[in-house]
Amino acid sequence: MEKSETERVELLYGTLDMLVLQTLLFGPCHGHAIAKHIQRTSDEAFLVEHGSLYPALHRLERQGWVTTNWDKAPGKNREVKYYLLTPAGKKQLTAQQNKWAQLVAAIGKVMRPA
Amino acid sequence: MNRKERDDELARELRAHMDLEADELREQGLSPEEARLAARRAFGSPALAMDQTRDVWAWNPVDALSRQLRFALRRARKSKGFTATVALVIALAVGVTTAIFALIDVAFFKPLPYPEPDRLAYVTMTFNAASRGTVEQVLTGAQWEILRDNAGSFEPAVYSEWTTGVNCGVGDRAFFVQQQRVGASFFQVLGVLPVQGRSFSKEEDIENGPRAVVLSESLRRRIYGEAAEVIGQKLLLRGEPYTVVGVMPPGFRSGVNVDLWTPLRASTHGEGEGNNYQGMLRVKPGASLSAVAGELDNLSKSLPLRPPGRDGTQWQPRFKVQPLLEGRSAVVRKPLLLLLGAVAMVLLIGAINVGGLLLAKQSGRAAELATRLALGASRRQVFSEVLLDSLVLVAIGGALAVPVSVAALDGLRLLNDKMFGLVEAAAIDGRAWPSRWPARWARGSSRACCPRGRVSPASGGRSLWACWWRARWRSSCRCWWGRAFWGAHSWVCG
Repeated sequence: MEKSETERVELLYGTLDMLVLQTLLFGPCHGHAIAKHIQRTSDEAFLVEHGSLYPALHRLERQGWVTTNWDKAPGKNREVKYYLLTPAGKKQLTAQQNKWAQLVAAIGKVMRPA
Repeated sequence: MNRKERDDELARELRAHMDLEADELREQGLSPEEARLAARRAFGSPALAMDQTRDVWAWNPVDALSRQLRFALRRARKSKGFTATVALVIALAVGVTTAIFALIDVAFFKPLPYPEPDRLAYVTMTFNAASRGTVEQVLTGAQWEILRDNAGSFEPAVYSEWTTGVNCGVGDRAFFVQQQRVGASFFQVLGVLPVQGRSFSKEEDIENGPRAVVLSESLRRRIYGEAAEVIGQKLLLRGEPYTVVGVMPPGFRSGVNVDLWTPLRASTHGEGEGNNYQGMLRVKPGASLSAVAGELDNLSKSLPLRPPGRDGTQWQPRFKVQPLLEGRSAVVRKPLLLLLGAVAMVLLIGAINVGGLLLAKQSGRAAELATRLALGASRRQVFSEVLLDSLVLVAIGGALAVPVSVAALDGLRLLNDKMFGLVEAAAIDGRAWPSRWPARWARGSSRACCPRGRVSPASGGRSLWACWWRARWRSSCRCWWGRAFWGAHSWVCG
């Protein structure tokens, strides 16, 4: 279900990396699938721009949080670049999740005081 | 993985992404061509995505700069006429200004090439009459003797700043050389002694004393080649026999262009009756220039008064002491500042011309730049490109300015023989280069123009700049160009 431009939410700065790592937790994935997964699971609220996705993927690769390999896409006769989460990446994801939870809790407290 | 491989892999990755998208769309029923176009549309600009991804890798700033530089050079090559015009204007404007600044630097700012140049001072006589102002003159023989015989906290020296071209005969060879006459204490006061032999003795510096000569290193080489021992050799100057007693170190300069020095033999008659001698002194360790100035003031009281002029004016004589650099350059101060003003105008006109040309050129590119912005280039990229275009032109112009400034300095040699010695010492080097002017002026002017302010105990807690301003203002506010120059100077140097 396509959302209109007004229903879309802009990604918070710095959260794309966390979303990508979270997506990779379920197994190796290529850029196209990662973008689709984030869009689908956010009910199309996030539109992942390719100009942001690929820099994010390469940044994660550079930091050693993901590794890559070229492989055939399932059921298709074309090679795509797969991204795999590394143990360091898993650790990073946990750290980011904790931080995120703290942030949400703190904002929640301010916005909806008990 | 190198840059090229990573670029290729990234392009392949993005292509695969668009192919996967097209596959999906085809499965939804679109024709292959429609699917391909729709996937392309959905993806946006692959070039932009590649560019932004490239930013992630460390080599990127260098890489981007080198790419933009190559592009700028290519564009400069493409419009040869424009590039040549701009570069030529920059070369001319910067070249001549640099040449003049090299002179100004030597005359006013560059520390003299002697040990502790701050302790060296130039001595002149001033004659003051209430109704007629002040006249400044160099010393007569009698005045020099008063200075010499009453030296307390300073070592005085006397010399003639004029050089004479003379024939120098050695064996059957003849050389045309520049001779300067200096007093016995001259080299000692400057703080540079001969590397071979000795300087003049007192006996050699009196009338009818032994005829002795000190050679410059370059003349020694010209005459005697690599011969080790030259002390005691005889040579003929104006047909009269002289004995070589010393050789100065290589590169030694006594302010003017000199090949050999002979004793001045200052006296109170003949040339000594007129104002023909330059006086200088070195402040002894432990004393200060202001203390010496006080001492000379006291000494001035014992100077014989001149007979009153025909109109009855009574001139009051007084020794004036000022830093050597300032004193020696006093003669060329006015013409140099005038030249500086003229070339500053040339620089300004050049800058305005180049600014206009660049503006016209860049407004011609408006459509191209708009297209590139629309294709996804960032404002930063476009801005840095335009900036780099100008920098390439400036670099070409700057490189051309070096030969121009060297030629301009050569040209100045023909302008004024007074400046000749100065031009010899001036060189187009790092000191003269425009990028260093502000720092040079700020540092150099405080050093060269304010020693009096600095050594004076009366300066107390005043800052160096305050002293400098006071000294400058006092000495230059008498004339309009001084006001204009120092006003502009303070504006430029903050």
